[in-house]
Amino acid sequence: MSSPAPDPADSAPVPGGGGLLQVRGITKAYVGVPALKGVDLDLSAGSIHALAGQNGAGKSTLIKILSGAESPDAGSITVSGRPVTFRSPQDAQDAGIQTIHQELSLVPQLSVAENVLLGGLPTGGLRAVSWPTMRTQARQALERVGFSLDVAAPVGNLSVAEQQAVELAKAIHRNARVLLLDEPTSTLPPPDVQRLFEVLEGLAAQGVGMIYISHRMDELYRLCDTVSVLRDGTLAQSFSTQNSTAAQVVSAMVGRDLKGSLAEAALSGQRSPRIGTGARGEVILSARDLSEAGEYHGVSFDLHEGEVLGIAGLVGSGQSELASCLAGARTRTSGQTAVDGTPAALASPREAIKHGIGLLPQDRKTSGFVPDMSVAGNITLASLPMFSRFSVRDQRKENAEARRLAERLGMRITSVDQPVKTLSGGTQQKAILARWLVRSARVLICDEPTRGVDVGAKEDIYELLREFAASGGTVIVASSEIPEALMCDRVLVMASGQMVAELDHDDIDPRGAAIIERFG
Amino acid sequence: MTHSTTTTPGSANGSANSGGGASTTRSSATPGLLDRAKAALPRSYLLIVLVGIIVIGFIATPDFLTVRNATNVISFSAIVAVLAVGQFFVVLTGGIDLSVGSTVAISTVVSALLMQQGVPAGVAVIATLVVAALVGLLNGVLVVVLGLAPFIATLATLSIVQGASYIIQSTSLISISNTSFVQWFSDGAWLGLPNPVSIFLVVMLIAAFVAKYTTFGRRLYAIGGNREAARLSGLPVSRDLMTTYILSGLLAGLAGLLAAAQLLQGSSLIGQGYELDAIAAVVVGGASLFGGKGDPISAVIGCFVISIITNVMNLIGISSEPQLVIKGAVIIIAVFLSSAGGVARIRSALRRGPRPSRGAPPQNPAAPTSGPAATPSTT
Repeated sequence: MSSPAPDPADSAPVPGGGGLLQVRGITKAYVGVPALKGVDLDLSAGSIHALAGQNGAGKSTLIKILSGAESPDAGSITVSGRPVTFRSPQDAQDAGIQTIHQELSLVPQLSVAENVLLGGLPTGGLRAVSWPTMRTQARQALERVGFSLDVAAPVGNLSVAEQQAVELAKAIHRNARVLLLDEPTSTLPPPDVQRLFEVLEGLAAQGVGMIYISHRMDELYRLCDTVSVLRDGTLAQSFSTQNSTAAQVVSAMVGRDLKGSLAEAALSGQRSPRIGTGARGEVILSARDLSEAGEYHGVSFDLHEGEVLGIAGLVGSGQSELASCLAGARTRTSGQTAVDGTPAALASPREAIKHGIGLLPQDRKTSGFVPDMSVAGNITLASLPMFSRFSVRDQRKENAEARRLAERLGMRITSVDQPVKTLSGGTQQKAILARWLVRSARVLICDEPTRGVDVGAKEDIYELLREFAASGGTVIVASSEIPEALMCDRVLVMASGQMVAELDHDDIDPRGAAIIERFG
Repeated sequence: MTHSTTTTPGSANGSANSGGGASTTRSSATPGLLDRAKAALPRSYLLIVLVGIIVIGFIATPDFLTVRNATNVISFSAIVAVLAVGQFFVVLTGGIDLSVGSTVAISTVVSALLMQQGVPAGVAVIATLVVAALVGLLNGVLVVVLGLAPFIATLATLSIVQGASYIIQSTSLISISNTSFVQWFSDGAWLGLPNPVSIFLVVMLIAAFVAKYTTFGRRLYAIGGNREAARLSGLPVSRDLMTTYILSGLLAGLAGLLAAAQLLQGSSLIGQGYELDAIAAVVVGGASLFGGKGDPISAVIGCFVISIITNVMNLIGISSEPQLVIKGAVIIIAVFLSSAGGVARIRSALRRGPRPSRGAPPQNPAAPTSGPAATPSTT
């Protein structure tokens, strides 16, 4: 098939036709809100099948159902021609479906071998754990995923990539025939991504079928043979990756044409449009010799009013920690900071906020929002005095302001009373952004602002940052995503905690090679 | 590989889809009312439990629903209710205060001792509250400044304060004969309400107002809900935590005054185990020990649930040992229903029940009949 409207004959499911996994008419609603409306999916052995879609499209719900964490309201699942009903994740694993979650589920204190065999430790006499057998089996499982690790070492000492290999080995050891992979690359540095892909391709060659979720289009096109797009709980379209383009997939995801948008530009390999206006006013924030043991070293720079400054680096290069430090969220070991030319320690978020500096933290869930609190409560959290008189809150004023911002930022909410935990990642990020807009922050420090955010919301967030800069705001974007660095007026490149280069927007080539080559 | 590909959801399964679609439109037709009812559920379950226990008490013994017994129960509950309100604020931040029982004890001892020395009741009351607030301050310093876990810090304070009250007391017990003190905190009445009742009602209502309508209350929900987010939003987290521990100490002092006036004595034995009653009341009232949830009125209702059960068991002559067992069981049930999402879990278990089991004969998975067949059980 070559076009978004494939030949129906090609798409008709073959009854019991050798498919490894067959999903038919899966429907699921949460408290009356439909999440999936009759989704069909076919996976054959050795295939890597991408599942794409915006947050809220139903990807996670489908994965939860396939992994046995949730039961569908209607529909059927067949594994190798046998109908199955999952009442628990254990049932799904027994049927050969293993899930690799975004957050790895390993026990850091236990050894590699113990983690691989955690489901059923091999026992010898007196039902005691047989360590030699365990090590051998763990080594064999790791071999199948192409890794050789010290199986006696605690998992906590391994790198993220190695931990992922342990997770894969664990799945393989349990005879995985179907692997569900939920954004496995979101925390991996690029060289390890390549390695992971080789491992996955190896497993596919061994006949394992995979369902792969990722927001990164380039990955889907490098790794997968098929892309199925979910939109609003239905299967919008399926593409063969050989005969389609990323832009088609993204159009199917958002349900509209992307021509001229940031996402389209990024996908087609064009230079992403600049967020910043290039304005270089007075120095608003200056940093001298900032160091934090083990994170970053002797970093100095000036931030000018109205500019968008990128701090680019691979994951773990210190850019996130540096950004947090500037927002007062982390304590540095040494170095001076000044705001508007006057020394300011920026020792706490409270102090940074007083100077007009707000932080969009990297991990929304653990440090961004209060999950059970309403949208309005989260938006006004940093500016409660503005919405109170003698410490008594003015709920009406608060709600009115929250509604105004929700509309301005295009937040998809049913009401401002809705708990933030029920929103999609992009909308949650907008709520945190709104918190600083209410506070009239002058400097916005964004730490990986679009991590875990879908394409549509990503573009919204870039647009909002652009708007913020255009209205005279100053932005720092700490990011490991090259396209994001390319949108900035100026980019500081970090490698192993050192600032290795300062590049002007015009000095960087459209593909960002100037940045990448300095990562070392 | 096969692709199930159409621009609209699979037409082969049209009937399954329309079945699913119908079910969703039906249930989303009245979302506002339903959702609002669901949001109010925890507390309404609590009220049902409370009313249920009152009905059981009424049936079990004629002595239960008498003015005299009701006054007794409420006056006695006032002590733990005041403690529960203080405990609620600490628990709301994700902390816990185990020292309140000891604080009740030292408060009775301090007030009784001062009045025995001829100190006027008013001065004794203020001095007692200062002592209790200092205990709270100590907790706050241990948790906020030294960074100890609240459980450990207040466990240590429990021991320290208990020891201190033994030392201060020095004799067996100190009786209270100051009539105005007893009048204020026990025997007096205002507008027909016994003073202990007025006191706990005022405390509860002020607390409810603070929790719901003040910036301080909002900050506590934020701190308990996600402390890091609260910190990054520039909230004065340390100061607020300090305030809640002082508040808890202060209210424990007030509870101590109520206890002293009721028992007409100061003794370091008074109040032992009250901290656990207060914590039980708070969690029965739907708060989470992880913080960020609940409200003071529910905590007070939780307190009444526990004390009325105790009262009914006393009246029908259950001896104190089985009482403890029953009380524990009731706490488990109430917490399961209110904060552990028990109602939802029971409901989903019931819903899952009638679905075909794994042993059922396999159906052709592709047959559209399986869709509609399963659909009705969801609505």
